[in-house]
Amino acid sequence: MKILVPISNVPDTTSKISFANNDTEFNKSGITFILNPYDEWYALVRAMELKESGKAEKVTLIHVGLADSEPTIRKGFALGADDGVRIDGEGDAYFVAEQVSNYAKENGYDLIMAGKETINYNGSSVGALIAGFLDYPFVSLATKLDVEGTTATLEQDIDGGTQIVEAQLPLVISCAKGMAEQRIPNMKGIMAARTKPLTIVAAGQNNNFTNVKSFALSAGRTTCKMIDENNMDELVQLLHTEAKVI
Amino acid sequence: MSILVYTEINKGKVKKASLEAVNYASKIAEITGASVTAIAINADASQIEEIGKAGAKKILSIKNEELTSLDNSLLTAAVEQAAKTENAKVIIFSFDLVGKAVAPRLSAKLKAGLVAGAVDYPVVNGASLEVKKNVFSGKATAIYSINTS
Amino acid sequence: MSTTKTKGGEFLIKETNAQDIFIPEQWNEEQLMMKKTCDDFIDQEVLPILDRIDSQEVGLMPSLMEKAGELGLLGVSVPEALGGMGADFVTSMLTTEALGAGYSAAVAFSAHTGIGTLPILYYGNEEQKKKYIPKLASGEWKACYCLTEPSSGSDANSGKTTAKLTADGKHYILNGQKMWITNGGFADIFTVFAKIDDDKNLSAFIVEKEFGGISLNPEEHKMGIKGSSTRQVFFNECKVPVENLLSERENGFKIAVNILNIGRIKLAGAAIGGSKRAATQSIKYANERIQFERPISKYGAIRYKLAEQAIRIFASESATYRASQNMEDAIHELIAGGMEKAKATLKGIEQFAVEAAILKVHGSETLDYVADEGVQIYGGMGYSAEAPMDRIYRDSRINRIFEGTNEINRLLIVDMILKRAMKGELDLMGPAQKVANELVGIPEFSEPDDTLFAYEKKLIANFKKAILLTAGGAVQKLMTSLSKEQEVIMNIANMAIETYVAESTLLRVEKMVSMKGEASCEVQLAIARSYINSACDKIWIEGKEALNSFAEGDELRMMLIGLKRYTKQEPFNAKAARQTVAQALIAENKYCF
Repeated sequence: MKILVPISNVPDTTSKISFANNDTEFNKSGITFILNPYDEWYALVRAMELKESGKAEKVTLIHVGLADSEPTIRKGFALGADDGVRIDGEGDAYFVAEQVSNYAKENGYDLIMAGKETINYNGSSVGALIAGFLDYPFVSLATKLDVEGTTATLEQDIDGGTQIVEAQLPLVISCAKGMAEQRIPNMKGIMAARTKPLTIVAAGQNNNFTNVKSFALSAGRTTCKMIDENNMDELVQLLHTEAKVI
Repeated sequence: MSILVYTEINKGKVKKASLEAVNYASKIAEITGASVTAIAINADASQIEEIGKAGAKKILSIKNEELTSLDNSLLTAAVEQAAKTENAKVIIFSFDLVGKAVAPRLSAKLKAGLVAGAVDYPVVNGASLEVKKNVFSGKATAIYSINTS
Repeated sequence: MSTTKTKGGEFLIKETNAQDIFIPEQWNEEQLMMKKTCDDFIDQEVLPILDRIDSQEVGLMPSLMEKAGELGLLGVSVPEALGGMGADFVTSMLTTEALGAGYSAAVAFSAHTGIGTLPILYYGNEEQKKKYIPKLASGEWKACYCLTEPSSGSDANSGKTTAKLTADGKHYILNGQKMWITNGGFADIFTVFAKIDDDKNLSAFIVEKEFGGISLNPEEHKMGIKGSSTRQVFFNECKVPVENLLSERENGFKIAVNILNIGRIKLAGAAIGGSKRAATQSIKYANERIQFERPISKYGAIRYKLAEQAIRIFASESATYRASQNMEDAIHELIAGGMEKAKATLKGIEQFAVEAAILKVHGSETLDYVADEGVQIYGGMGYSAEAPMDRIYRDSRINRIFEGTNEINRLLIVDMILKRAMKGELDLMGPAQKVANELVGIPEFSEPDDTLFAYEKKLIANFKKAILLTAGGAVQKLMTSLSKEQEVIMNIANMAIETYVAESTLLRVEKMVSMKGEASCEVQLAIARSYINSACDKIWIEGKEALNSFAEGDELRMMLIGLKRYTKQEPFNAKAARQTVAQALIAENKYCF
């Protein structure tokens, strides 16, 4: 079984978000970029576990982005991925998924494991888009995955419970919490990272149907207001006038 | 032109998120002068009425037990079919398990722009639709412009 | 890396080109990834269980060491052929820094990887290395180092532990008592220093717990690093095979001294790691704690502390990595000259033993300052054992004591400098004579050079003259009794420490400016100028105290005038500089340099 893991390069969770160029662009200066946690913790780590248990022969990373995101790909190598592909281009989820799908079509993967969403654009779309392009079955927000032969058994959370799904390979899944535990890359993996092959491919079709016109920062969390337990009137008043929930 | 909304029945009730999606669609319809068509899968009469009350002018009721299995490729095919017959320009899903699986698949099939997780009513700006969504895990919002129909 | 060869201690008489030093802004992607792995390990595996570690839950520290071993953290400096990573010295300093934030666990790791592993790695023969190093690098075996005895601490060579060859010549029998043995409670491998027969000098032995004849006292009750196992170890007819003698007979003291050189600069690195985290906690608390309706980080009294923490950390870090790279370069040069790697590593580091001692003192005192002001910034909560400053404060204190007390290190700084001068390795006499001539000559009134860094470089050059003036006077006046005048030696050592660190900080910022431009280094410039400003005043005070103690009359007056001239500054608004630094820290909500 060959596994393809699409990965994103995203700002570190503790980054201070700001915008440039009249709020039309994300301001990259001073930002540390990381491997999207959901791609790393859930998709890639589970893929590595499948490889370590002998069920997968190879784990390939794929990333659609510019050269400055290569350190993030090498972080994936440090975690154990065998090789990687960078498709040189930038675009929205549709664009990214189409590029990944084209590559996957040509190179044949049995299992494509995406993270449930990116922490920058929070779209949760790339996995399903890839399934759409490839016409593969898709299991979204899977919390467990095992593979026997060409059959994958998965679990996903649904309203009020979990359901167990069986699906045939080739298959696309998006991975959510529960799939695997976060790993710390070990020193050997880090030192091996620079020796792993990274192929750079030019982007194909340029279908990019959406673009961001402007960004705005969300209003920060306001401070806690303490109300005396005997002063219910004030609480009711505040819930009505400030929180506007009653 | 029409706006298509996907609705879902769960445990005998129309999902609250689906009713919100219908309402959201009717707001777009108000702005654009389009009409709202809802897709209801295996819904009964009272559920259909409820969807209607939420703002759907027309309801495509599909009876097919296979579609309740939440198999997203079948659902995608069903919505795709509906979109073609209704000549839909905008398709609305709620941002949940089904929506997250079906909307992107459909986007890939129809070569249509996708904005996932909109938080405010859209604005029509010429040929494009502008939608607000949360980004950077809630730290910011972005106005997306969608350039396909 | 360096274009010109740098020698240890030479900073006193030579100007260094900023482009020749290594600065932390030059870490490459791989090194930063390694640091991240160490940071993640501390965050995920150590910090959540600090209370359990400090209660010395049985088996917890060894299992933590095994986890660290699995990640490769215990074998960073070990060659790949022996199961390690084979990383270079500077990289090992970076991982040391990151792991240094691990409180008691940091102590256990550094004792294991440093004094526990390195004597075997650097002095062991092939069989010894093959037998012990891979299992130490993987964490399967844990190591400790048995040098100190109840009556022999700073005077290490006076130990009473004995080794006697058995009649059949196959074993040494060890008898004696060792004290303050870190990791003693769970160690499998003990490097033990003992005297064979009536030898003058110590010999070293690799002792396995399995050999028998080893017993332990209960855990010591300590002020801090409570999770670190510290025991007395007794050797009672302990039978050690002759092939476990490490290096040659009577070579033990040299091993101890050389390993301590490494331990000292590593301690400085670890202290930087601890300091940065403590500073970050201070900044976060100051931003959160509201008094008089404003966060306390809005108040100048607190900003002073936040800024000063950062200034000292940045300075210590600048000097530590400058010296680390100098050591690295020296090692490579020796290897290129045909020396075997282990020997070259020891020799290369030994060349910079003066700097290692300087850094040990400065790193540990910076950590202590940061911890102390951290408690103060936390106010009442700083004194609560429920809040983090309690542990930081108690755990930092040992750093001024172990790996040679800071007093011993100060003595060593001056002693090593003077010995090198006597041997002709360091030409102090020429420059000292020049300074003496300058004193009686006419002061120069050259046009002020207002190009960037010219003024600060002039100050640094003057600090060196102040040292030469003071030390030269001390040698001349006190002659051989100088070694007994420890107060004067402390004065001179402090002048050398401040000069080396101030110069390193300036060189780092100068190199940063050449990389990023002046505009984006505004805060770092404020840091460097602030540090130099304080260093200048300290150098004046230390120098004055020394001169006043051994000179008198006209000669004293003349020397004081010279010292004043060499520590003369233009007015500097230290308050404004600290505000600049504090504002950057507050905005980032963490130590951010």
